[in-house]
Amino acid sequence: MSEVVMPTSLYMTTTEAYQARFDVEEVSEVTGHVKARVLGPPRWGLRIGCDQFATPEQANEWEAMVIGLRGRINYLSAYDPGRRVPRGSMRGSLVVGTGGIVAGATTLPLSAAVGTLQPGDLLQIGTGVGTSMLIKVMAPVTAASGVASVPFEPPSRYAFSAGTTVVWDHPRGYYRAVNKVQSWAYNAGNLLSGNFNLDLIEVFA
Amino acid sequence: MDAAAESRIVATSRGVAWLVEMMLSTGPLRFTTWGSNVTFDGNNYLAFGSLCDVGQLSESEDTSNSKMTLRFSLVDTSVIAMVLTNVDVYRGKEVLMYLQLFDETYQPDGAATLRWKGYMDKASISREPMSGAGEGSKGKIEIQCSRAGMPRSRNKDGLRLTDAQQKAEFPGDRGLEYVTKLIEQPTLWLSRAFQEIK
Repeated sequence: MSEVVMPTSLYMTTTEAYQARFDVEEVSEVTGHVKARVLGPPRWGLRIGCDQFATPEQANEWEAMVIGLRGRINYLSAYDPGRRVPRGSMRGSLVVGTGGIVAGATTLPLSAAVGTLQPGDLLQIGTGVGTSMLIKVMAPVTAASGVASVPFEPPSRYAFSAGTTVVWDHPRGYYRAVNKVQSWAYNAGNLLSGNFNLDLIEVFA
Repeated sequence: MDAAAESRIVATSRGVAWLVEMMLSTGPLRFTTWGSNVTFDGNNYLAFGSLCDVGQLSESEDTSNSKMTLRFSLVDTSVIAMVLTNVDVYRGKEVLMYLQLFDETYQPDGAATLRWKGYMDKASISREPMSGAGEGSKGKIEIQCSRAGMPRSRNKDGLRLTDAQQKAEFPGDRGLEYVTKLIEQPTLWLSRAFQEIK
């Protein structure tokens, strides 16, 4: 199983991001008392596509990417097209701050931080499948003296040590394709191709 | 259960997963039905997630036969290799199942509790062919497990102490010599009222 990287220049006309949750509800028929039963950590999902006929160069990138996934065998390192960079002003070489974070944490200490983060901004802590995590900022953050405390969701699946790289430029998650069939269409004259679509779900290992 | 696990049981949100420990002859295989690896008692339980399933467990105070089935997906080649290899690797080997609770941050809450212990029995593989283009074939590996002492309890008569067993342990003891006769030929005891001459 190898990694396929989603090109930053990929031409997309339809994009949708979501979070898949795996909770069920236990309800007492007698008292109405409700409890949530968590079945596992939530997973990010992406639905991307190109429903128009793309140029040959754009189509080449799509075909190489979808076929390179080998169905559900390989991973796709993908970014959220709507959150390529933070909508806040924070940039630079961000790292996890002093003390690091433990598994289950929902607050990220940042070092070498300058600027702001907005709710909804995405950050990637670490790299690699099973050793990184894509998190979403939950409240406005303003760095002070190079330090910031970032509330995020979902709770961290792993512990990350201080100094771990935090990516803000095209933060990526690792996904597997849900599609069973990869197809595309050609226009009259077979000069252009399009109608690509990819349904992705995050994987942890 | 420890205090943390007891608190989690009554909390408004909780997660539950099994930690399964298979004591194979080649070394212990530890996995969990949770989606990520779990560390308990110094051991790492691999996240099999939906690749495995634990059959329904039942508990009883009597000696009724209690079986449990472990099911694995056919995509797990390591389990396939284990099942297809020498049966001595898994047959008759111990399997323990721990119940682990998780909190709302998807982290283990409290210590895992041993809920079932038994021995692995026979294994079987079933497969359904592909139903069409783009459809994958399905299948599963099932390993039957049973509680300790089940072979003996299947024959309830085997639980009864015989005269031969008693004499084997205590030579010369005649205390159970007439047990068989008493069972096979019950004696009718007359009541006192019946015997009185009125």
